[in-house]
Amino acid sequence: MRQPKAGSRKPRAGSIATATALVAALGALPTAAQAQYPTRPPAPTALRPVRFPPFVTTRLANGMDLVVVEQHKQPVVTVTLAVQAGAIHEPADKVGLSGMVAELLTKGTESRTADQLSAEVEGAGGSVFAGSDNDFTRVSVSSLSEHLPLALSVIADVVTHSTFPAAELELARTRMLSALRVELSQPASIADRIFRREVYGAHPYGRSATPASLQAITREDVVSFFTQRVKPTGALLVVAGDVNAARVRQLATEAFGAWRGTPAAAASPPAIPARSLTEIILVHKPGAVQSNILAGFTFITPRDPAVYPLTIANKIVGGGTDARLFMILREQHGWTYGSYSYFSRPYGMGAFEANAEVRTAVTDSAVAEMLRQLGRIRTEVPADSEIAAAKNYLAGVFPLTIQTAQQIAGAVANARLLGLPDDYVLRYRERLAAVTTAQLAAAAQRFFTTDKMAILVVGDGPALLSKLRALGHPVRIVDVEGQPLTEADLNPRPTAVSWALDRIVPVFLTYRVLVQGNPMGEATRRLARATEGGRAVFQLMGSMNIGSFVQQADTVTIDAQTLAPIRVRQSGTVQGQQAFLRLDYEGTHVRGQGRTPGPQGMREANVDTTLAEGTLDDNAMEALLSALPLAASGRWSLPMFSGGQGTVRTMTASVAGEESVTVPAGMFACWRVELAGGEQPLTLYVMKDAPYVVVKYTMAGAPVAFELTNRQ
Amino acid sequence: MTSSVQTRRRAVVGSARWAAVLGVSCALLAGAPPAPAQQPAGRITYDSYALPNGLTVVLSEDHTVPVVTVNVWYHVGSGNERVRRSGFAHLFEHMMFQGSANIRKSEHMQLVERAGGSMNGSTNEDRTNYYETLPSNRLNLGLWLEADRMRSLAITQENFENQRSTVKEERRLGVDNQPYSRGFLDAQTMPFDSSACFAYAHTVIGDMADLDSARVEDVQAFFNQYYAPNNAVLTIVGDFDPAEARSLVQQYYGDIPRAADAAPVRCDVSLGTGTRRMEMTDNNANLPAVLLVYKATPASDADAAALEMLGSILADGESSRLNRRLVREERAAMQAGGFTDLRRSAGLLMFIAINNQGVETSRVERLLNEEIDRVRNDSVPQAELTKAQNQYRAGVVRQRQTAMGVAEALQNALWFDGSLDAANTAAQRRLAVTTADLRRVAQRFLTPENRLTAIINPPAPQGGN
Repeated sequence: MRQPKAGSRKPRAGSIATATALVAALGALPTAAQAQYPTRPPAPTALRPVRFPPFVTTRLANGMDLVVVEQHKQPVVTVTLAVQAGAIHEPADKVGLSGMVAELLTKGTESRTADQLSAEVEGAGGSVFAGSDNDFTRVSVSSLSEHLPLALSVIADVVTHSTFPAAELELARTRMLSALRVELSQPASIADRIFRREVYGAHPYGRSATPASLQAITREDVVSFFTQRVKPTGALLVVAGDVNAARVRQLATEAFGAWRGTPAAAASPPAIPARSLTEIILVHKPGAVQSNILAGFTFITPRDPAVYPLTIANKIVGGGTDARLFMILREQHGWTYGSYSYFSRPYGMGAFEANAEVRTAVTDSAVAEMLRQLGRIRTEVPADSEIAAAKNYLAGVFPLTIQTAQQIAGAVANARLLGLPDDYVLRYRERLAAVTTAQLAAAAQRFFTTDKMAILVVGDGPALLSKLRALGHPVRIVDVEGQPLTEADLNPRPTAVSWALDRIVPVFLTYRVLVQGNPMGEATRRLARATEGGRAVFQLMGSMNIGSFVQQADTVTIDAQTLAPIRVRQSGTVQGQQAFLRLDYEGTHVRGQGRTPGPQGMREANVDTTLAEGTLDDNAMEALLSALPLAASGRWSLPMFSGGQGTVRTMTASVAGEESVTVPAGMFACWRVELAGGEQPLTLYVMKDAPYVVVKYTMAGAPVAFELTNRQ
Repeated sequence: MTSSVQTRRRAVVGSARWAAVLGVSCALLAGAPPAPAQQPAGRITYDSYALPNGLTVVLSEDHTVPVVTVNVWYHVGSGNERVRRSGFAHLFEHMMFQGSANIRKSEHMQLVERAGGSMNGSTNEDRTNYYETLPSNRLNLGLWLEADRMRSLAITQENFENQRSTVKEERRLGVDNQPYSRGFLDAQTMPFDSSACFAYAHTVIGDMADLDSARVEDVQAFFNQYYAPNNAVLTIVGDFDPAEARSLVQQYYGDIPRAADAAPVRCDVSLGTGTRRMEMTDNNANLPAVLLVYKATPASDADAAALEMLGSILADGESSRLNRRLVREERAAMQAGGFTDLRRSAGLLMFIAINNQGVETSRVERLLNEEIDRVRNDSVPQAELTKAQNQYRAGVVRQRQTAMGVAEALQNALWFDGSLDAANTAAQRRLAVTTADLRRVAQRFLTPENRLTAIINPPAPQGGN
């Protein structure tokens, strides 16, 4: 390995003279004796001071506060206007309204369409942003400093002359609904929503938008919210960058001079409920392979002087990869990719949370350890070295967050909006450094209310319930929307089905396969009666051909009396790769092999297992659906074995309605059956009349449909 | 609504760059944008020297905030790899965090984070960069971390095998499991002839078979050749004392021996060798996509600035030609955009459109080609050029607000544009582009004979339950 030994230097033979000559020529290298090469990280030198740029605050005649921060490093400027309009001002049934209004602020004014506005800003090499949070709505333009008049003009225009076109409202609604759909499928987001509701109760900080609340927002709501809340009194304009304070004041007065008004008095929000004990809320997410844990409590307001010791305490507990949660849950135990803690700083009461995403099997251990660590910071004074390391980190990282004009504007705006003193940014590091060990201990003891915590666990309910109960705190079960569930709901018992066996009729069916509405292939189903070793059976023979992508044939044999599976034979090619499945049942014992496509690619399966009595095979699904005693409000839970994946899932079939369905084979009166519990929900249309077959089916989230073209 | 990322020249492994460039919705240009001011962006001041072992050192002071960036560029990329030995440069991006003589595995990241810093690294065809931004009283830590791995990276069988697995996993998640990634990478390598320019004819992430057949001795040899001080440039930017910095550099790097000079990268590219076409199926794609790829010149070419402005007009942001025509007006594409990638030895322009549901691919292809034809046959209005120039200048200025941005600007200028001072003339060169230049480079590069068309199709559905 090309490495000199530490401390010795071995210039290559022949180059000493050259090296010496170069050194002499350069003349800039120190001639004193060289220090040794360190074998451990060199220690920090003294912290160098933060020189935060000076800023000037004035109040304009219309009640707006103006803060100008001059920083002349680069010819850029960021202009941010913040008004008192946030989630806290929304009507309880229109959660998401403030976000909608913010979204629409850049979508049209009396003199600019959405397109014109973005073209104007982009044309000047700038960018515009509008958004809202718990308490405020912010509109911000960043550009080269020579375009300051344009930036001010755009912001003034949107807050005084926005028109909220109906078409843009619908586009925004569609975007927000799509984003919400994605959010609702992510366990981390589910955890966050339910956690906030548990911690804040009916207080607006605990609310989250739902599809219903977004659908309920009308243009009148938008206009009303805007008119009542987006006003200059109490608003803050921050201009940071390569600007001159006096000139900014003049330009801002011109741009905003005509803007007048005071926001309507806001009703006091409901009180945050006091929690009396620590509770585990188990959020059942069917099919979860890991758990998302969020544990926490209400904490402090940003103006509380305890924020300094608590910032240090949070750093020690979970503020990085050297913090306790990470080092113990990940480095020591290997339970998680990462575990951290954090506390929020809205205008009102913030909340503390510790989080981790862990494998299902270690969830209870991880929760126990998190509780132990949170208890520890409360009752045990941290070592001096830990406190010093935390302080050094926080003091060191701070300047990295105020390098650009945009960052500076944000820091100044946030401090002012949260009601912090003017010297907050300038003296942040100093105040952190001044925290004593005693202050840290006292704050942790008072504010880490570990005896009244909400512990959220989003995961596989049945696998987690008893283990979480064993931790000794009351456990409450809810679904992903936060609705209560009972223990029985976690394990839907298979329904005893009175099969309508006379509805399984020999038939030969042909379907066309549509992808994005285009016919791409064909599938067939043949059902025949037969006898095997004296036993009456049904043989279900199917085939599928979709161009060069799928060519597959299968035969499934089931008992004609009980519909229990006997044999599955499937083979073909999928995407050019050979796939097959062979399963043989002897009573409830199934053995076999397979190579089948799954969500993560081809999967090899070796099967040798005993199933619970009454378990069905998912390859016989369509025949089984025919035999369900379908009626207007039927609902059945069916345990299904999937040989390719090697799992048993409880599928729930429920009759969602009646519809007349037209397909190439004709028009048919059908039951609409929703089938849930698989990877994607399926909607199937089953003929009400003989031969009681599936006429059409579609998959949620995939542009695929099967339609009956012929039957014999 | 933010403008999407401007034309990017350097990108990380994988399809991150196209994903960042494709934007949604659009704007119709209304009114002339303001002309750029007479003075371009602020100058970077710097000092540079070389150690006897060949290490180039660049120092740029900025005492605005107590922050410092230590940034090392090794002048090695996937372009230096040999046939059947692809993937090494990128593998090193991982290996470099596995520890060295005095730093334990993964300790590098921990030390930087605990100091309140941030760090990263990336590989492309022409260079590999590693950087840390730290509170300025930790300059010695940043310098020491880079020195320790330059002098004594722990290349062991175990580290090699671990990182080979990690790279395979990265490829699986980022390429094999990401829609359009595979086709995207193919479209960028296919324009280059494997025997004339193997450097760009293979991907940065490399062939997994090559990595599987590599031995740790090969990896060590690659390190010895390319991870040497005479193949590296160390840049320090921010709040530091130059005398102290020079002293530390001498102490930590002075005795690292140099390696023999590496063989130059060979890349012969001929423009306009004929229209080409490829079609492929992507398991993860939902909708078809059409890619048009044109060969181009290196970043140091006189036409580079005009080409970048043209690429921006066609593909950047909501008011780009492609977005306006294909997404907004014709509603033929869900997204349309592209990027310009001018490297050290040659370049590419790529334009991408993802079909809207139910739209024929032939229509999308035709629309893309019509927009390319328009910039060849008609003059671009000055307003569009001014917008692209304004956006470029704003991007440069924004980048240089941080120590990291300044470090990257200097490194980039030295390696791709030919000199450190090119960092201070970059904006001027774009501002000097005229609409006549745009038409000229369109006619030189955006011709059918110089184009590869790639169609990516989604798969048909798999068998039912």
